[in-house]
Amino acid sequence: MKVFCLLRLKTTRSNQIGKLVEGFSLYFLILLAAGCTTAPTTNYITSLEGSTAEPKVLLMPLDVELSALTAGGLTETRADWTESAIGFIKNAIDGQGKKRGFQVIAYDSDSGTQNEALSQIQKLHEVVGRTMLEQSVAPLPSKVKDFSWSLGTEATVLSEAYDADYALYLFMRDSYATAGRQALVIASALLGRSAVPEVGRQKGYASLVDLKSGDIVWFNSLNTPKSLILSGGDIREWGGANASIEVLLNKFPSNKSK
Amino acid sequence: MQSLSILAFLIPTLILSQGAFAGVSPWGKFDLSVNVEQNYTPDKSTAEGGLWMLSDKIEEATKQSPFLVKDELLNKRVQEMVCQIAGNYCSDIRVYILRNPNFNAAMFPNGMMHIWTGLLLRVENEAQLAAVIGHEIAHFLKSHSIKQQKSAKSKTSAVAWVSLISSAAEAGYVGDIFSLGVLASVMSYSRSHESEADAFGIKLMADAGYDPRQASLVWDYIERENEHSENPRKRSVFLASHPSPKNRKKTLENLAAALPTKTYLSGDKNYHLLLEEHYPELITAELEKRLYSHNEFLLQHLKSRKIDSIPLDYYWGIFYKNRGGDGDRQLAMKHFQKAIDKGNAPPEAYRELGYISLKDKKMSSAKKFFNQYLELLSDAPDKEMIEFYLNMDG
Repeated sequence: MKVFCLLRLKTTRSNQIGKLVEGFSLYFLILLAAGCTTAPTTNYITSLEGSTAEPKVLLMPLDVELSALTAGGLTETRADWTESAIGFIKNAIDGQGKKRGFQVIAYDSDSGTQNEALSQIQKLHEVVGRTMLEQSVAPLPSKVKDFSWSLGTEATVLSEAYDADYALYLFMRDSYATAGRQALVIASALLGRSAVPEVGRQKGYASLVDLKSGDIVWFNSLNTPKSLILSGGDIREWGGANASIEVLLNKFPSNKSK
Repeated sequence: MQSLSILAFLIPTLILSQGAFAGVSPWGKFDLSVNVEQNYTPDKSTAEGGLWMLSDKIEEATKQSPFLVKDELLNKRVQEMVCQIAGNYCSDIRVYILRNPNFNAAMFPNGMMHIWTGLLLRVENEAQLAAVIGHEIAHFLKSHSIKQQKSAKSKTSAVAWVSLISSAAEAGYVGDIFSLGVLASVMSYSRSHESEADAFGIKLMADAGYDPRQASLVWDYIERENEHSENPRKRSVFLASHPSPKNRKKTLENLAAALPTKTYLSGDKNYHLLLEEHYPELITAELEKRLYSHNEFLLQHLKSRKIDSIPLDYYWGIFYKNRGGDGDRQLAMKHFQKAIDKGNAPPEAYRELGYISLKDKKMSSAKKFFNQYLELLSDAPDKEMIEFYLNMDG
């Protein structure tokens, strides 16, 4: 059911009664709005559309960091793991492009060609992406059914700079327990502690922005605790990275014309 | 184990940026040997490699930051000073000046140095700036970041084991007390690094020819500004991880006195020339903080430095206008008028007088000031607003 809640009241501002009417109408407006149901808006898409036969998806700089989880619970970022994971994830996304019929365009993050406007869009997405991630866990009442996120029309500078239809953002943090941490976890379990320390966690999200409107048209996240017994999801290796991307982009829109 | 989660939050920020500097006593106490090689880059599979990667990421963002000061002359001179002080390590250190009205400078593990404009506004000459640069370079040469990471790692690991074992022995509180002790120990380790960087830094600046006696004056100023504050920062995290300004001042004085006597450069005049065209922006940003006791102290300090090119009366006017206490409007008016009489007021002084007249309901004098403002600044950004007032009745 779609109800249009539009209320327009004319009041005379110059007299007291006018002010009273204004006050009351505001009160009723709030009451009315509270009982008003609107159809959930959604920008969510299931198929890709582009200016060319194969829609162009601009892959934004991957915000990926892998770290070691020390016995004391500190995370130590590992450059080597991060570097190889980024390589694998890029390949895995290329694979998704072939499967789903889109062309992946690489973002040039060389600071010489970068400019402030482009990097401001990235910063904006960091904030919007983080908010979407929070909202996917505990949404505000207005966001339960709605999927209405946007970077605003400013994001179209990306389509001008790269001649792309969409931009794909990917964020991932992954941690792996050190031997010391693993020993601590085993000792905790043996001593019968109820709260056994974590052995690592893979968190991430991906979001797709329509570069014609700046709207976010697809989003998915993952948050997987690690286990000492079950292996898998190790994105330091090709198999694990490819599997994680397969899970994250599970319902990613496809090119239907293909 | 709440104290541990506090640790986990604090430690990364402490490790990543070695904040504003630090001090201690005679020279014999300090090890002034360098811990890094020239053009060093760490192995990517090490903890240090991870810190470098994160710092590189921050550096890329810094290059695109809208807060980056791009003035060529200023950047060139500061980088030149960095090279003088860093000597053979010149090419390992890259300096970025960032618009931030607070007093700070920072060194990142990968050789990126940040200097905030609030610091440039507060130091008085090249030698004082050299003291800050020397301190930050010392952090780099002693590779303090990675040392702190290693120490934090072993200490927090110990916490995890001790609390596990003590809880098994049904003495859970032992773990908590122990981890509080570790927090103190991580902080005190950081303090000892600050002192080491103070000492090494003053040596580096003196070797480059800058007057080492100026180093303690930086802390003298910071101490006085803090004392003047209506809300002095007592035991903040900054002060827990850094020695007190008073101690640093004393130590630096003693260290400077023990250095060979020769002719050193303080570079007052050069510094004024370098900063001259930046002062309006820096002072405006300071006043926008609206920390009135700090603002007031800084304006008094600038007055004592007798830099003729700065229209201080105008800024005093802005200060009183912002503070808006009893009688401040009159004081603001007096200072704007004084700046105009002296002939060094910016056009905005007329606009401010216009607004004050407007508040005092003196329409004709408001219009007179607004007209003068637009005459001097025909493409004023707030032209439409001003014209709106000019067209008002009365």
